[in-house]
Formats: sequence, structure tokens, C-alpha cells
Amino acid sequence: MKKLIQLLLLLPLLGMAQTKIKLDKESGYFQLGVRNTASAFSDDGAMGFGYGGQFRIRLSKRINTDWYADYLTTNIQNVARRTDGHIGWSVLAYPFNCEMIRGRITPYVLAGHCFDYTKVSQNGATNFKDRLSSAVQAGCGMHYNITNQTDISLTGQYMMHIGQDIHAHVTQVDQLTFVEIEKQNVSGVEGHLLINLSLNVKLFDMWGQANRGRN
Amino acid sequence: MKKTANLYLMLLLVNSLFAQNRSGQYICKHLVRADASIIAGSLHKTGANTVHLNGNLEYYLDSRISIRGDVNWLAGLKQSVIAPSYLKDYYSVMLGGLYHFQTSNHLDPYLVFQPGIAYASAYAIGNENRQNLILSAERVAYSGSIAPLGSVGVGFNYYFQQFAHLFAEGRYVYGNLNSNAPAIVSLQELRITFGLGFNLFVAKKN
Repeated sequence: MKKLIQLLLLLPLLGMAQTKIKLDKESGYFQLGVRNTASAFSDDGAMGFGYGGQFRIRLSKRINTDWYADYLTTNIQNVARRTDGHIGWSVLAYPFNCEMIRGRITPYVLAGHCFDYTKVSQNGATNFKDRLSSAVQAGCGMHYNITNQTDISLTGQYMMHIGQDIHAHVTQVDQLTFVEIEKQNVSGVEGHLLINLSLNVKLFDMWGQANRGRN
Repeated sequence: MKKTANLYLMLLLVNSLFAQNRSGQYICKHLVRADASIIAGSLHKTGANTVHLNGNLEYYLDSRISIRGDVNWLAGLKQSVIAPSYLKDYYSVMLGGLYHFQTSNHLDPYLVFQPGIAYASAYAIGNENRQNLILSAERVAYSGSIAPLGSVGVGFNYYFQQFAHLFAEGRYVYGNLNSNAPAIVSLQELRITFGLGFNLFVAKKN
């Protein structure tokens, strides 16, 4: 009886011994990329355009991190201009396909945080107002894997700045245009939609995960 | 007779360049190519034709993908349309990637995506002179600003020889100069270039 119980206790181990460890070949990659950014639906109602770059560190099969910097300029009705600088990070989660295989699309959702600098200036004058603030962003996007090492990514995200809002009021009286740049005294939330198009290249495997178990 | 001999020698010289031909595509991982060229451009929204000096360096990560950096300097501009502000100086740096289509010969057609950044400045002239397009009139120059750029294009390299290749490229550049000038200056431009570039194999082909 004692032997029978011992055998029964060992039985589940037989099942466990057959489990094949699936290699995670996606995590650990360091990617570097460049991007263009379009900014829309800001309080000034103008479209902005920017240049930036990012690096990504893939934490696991389904989680990636994106560390970026952007520089954007916006024309406000030809009489003022807005300049934005963003430095931040996002966490990307891959709910569906998460393998970077040539020809496949990898959709993702993202959320993150950034520090930013905004300056609104009047054209032809020295009048300007600026602020440093913090922002949070969330959105979704997809990588299109053009090779196993390279992807093009398209992302749409809404960024909410938490700080003193700055915007330009443009008014026309007869033929004259007046510009007033306003910086609100009270901190609030002001946002804009950012659309990024980026090209990213896998440079190296940071912790050798992809090669583990091959030798 | 001497002329014929010279011509024959010239033909031999040109032929020797093609003597390095080998089958299949010439491009491979670790190939570095570089060229310096003159770019003809049209700032179609500003109504100006431009000439840029360009230098670029490209590194092939594999036979399909390469990364490339470009530097451009506006060497000449011909304005033909009345505008509130005109472009004065324009320097740009671009960094991006190229996708190369696989072919069975030495032709290397590609698509390019290169975001970039420019340092540019604008000037304005008095209204009367502006109406008559007298651009040499007294100018009011404005300080330079940094303008983000985006560009996409198509082109090809033809690797006819081990150390050199021919190339041609057309691209569209998008950007706006938001400076202290009375109005923005559009940097939207169509650019065309072609010429001779150089190859450097930094590692042996596998």
C-alpha cells in the first residue's frame, strides 16, 4: 500500500517531465529608430510636424519599452509659432501576434509618460511664453516587419500635458491681425493627438535570450 | 591613325571598368557606399528652384536594409514667385533607412524613408520691391530656426564595378520653416539627383 501511494505521488512528475520549454526569442532586443511625428487637435487648432528618434528595449515576448525624443514645430495662422520638445517613454503591449517575422503585422497598445518643453512665439516680434511640464500618453499602433530585423511602425496616441496651458489668440480687426499669447495661471490638462511613423532596426540582443538553448 | 588608337584605348579603359562584373547582386551585408552629388530641387509651394550640395554615407545591414545619413547645403536658389518671405540659408541633415529590392543583376532599386532636421533662415523685402520681384533690394533678414523634415523617395544604384557605382534618385521632402519671419516658408520640395558613388567592402561576403 505504501509503495502504491509513493507511485501515485510520482505520477504527476511524469507529466511535468514532458513539458517542452518554449524559447522566448523576442525579448532582450535593443532597437534604434528615427521617426516623423504629426501633431493635431491642439488648442491652437493647427497641425504640427516633427522629427525624433527612439530606442526600444524588449522586456519580454509581449512587453516592449520605447524611449523617445521629439522636436515639433507648429505654424499658428502664419502669425505665431509653437515649438514642442518631448522626452519620454512608453510601454508597448502586444495582445495578438508578438513575433517579429518578415511580412507580418504586430499590433500593440501603449501608454507612457513624458517631460516636455513648449514655447509659443509671435512672428516678427520678441514676444513669447514658455513652460516646462509633464504629460501622459496612451494609444495604439502596429509594426510592419519589413525584414526579421527591421520594422516600420505607425502609432496614434493622445498626449495630455499636465501644466499651465499656453496658447495664442489670433483676432482680426479690419485688415489688422492681433496676436495675444496667453499662459494660464492654473495648471490644467491640455492635449493633442500625435501620429508617429518610424523606422526601427534591431541592433543587438541585450541578454542573449534568443541564442539561449541553441548550443 | 593616332586618333583611332586613342579611341581604342579609351574604349578599353571603359571596358576594363566592367571587367569586374560578377553574377548576382553586388550588394551584401557590411557594404558601405558613399557619394557626393549636386541635387536639383523645386520648392513648389514657394515657387523656387534650388541647387543643393549633398554628401551621404550608407551602410548595408543586410541585402535588403541599409541605413543612410545625408548632409545637404543649399548652394543656389532662383525665386520666381512673389511671396511674403523667402528662403535664405538652408542646411539639413537626414538619417533613415532604405529598403532594397532583390534583383538578379547589379541593379539595386530601393525605397528610402529619411526623417531629418534643417537649420534654415528667411528674409523679407519691401512691398514695392516684392511686387516687382526685385530680390536684390534691401532685405530684412530673420534669425535661423530649426525645422523638422520628412522625406520619402525612390532610386537605384548600378554596381557596374567593384569600387564604384552609378546612382539616380528622386525624393519628396516635407517641412515648414516656422521662424520669426512674417510668414512661414514651405520647405516642401521635389529633388532629383544622379551621379557616381563609391563602394567599400568592410567585411568579406559570406
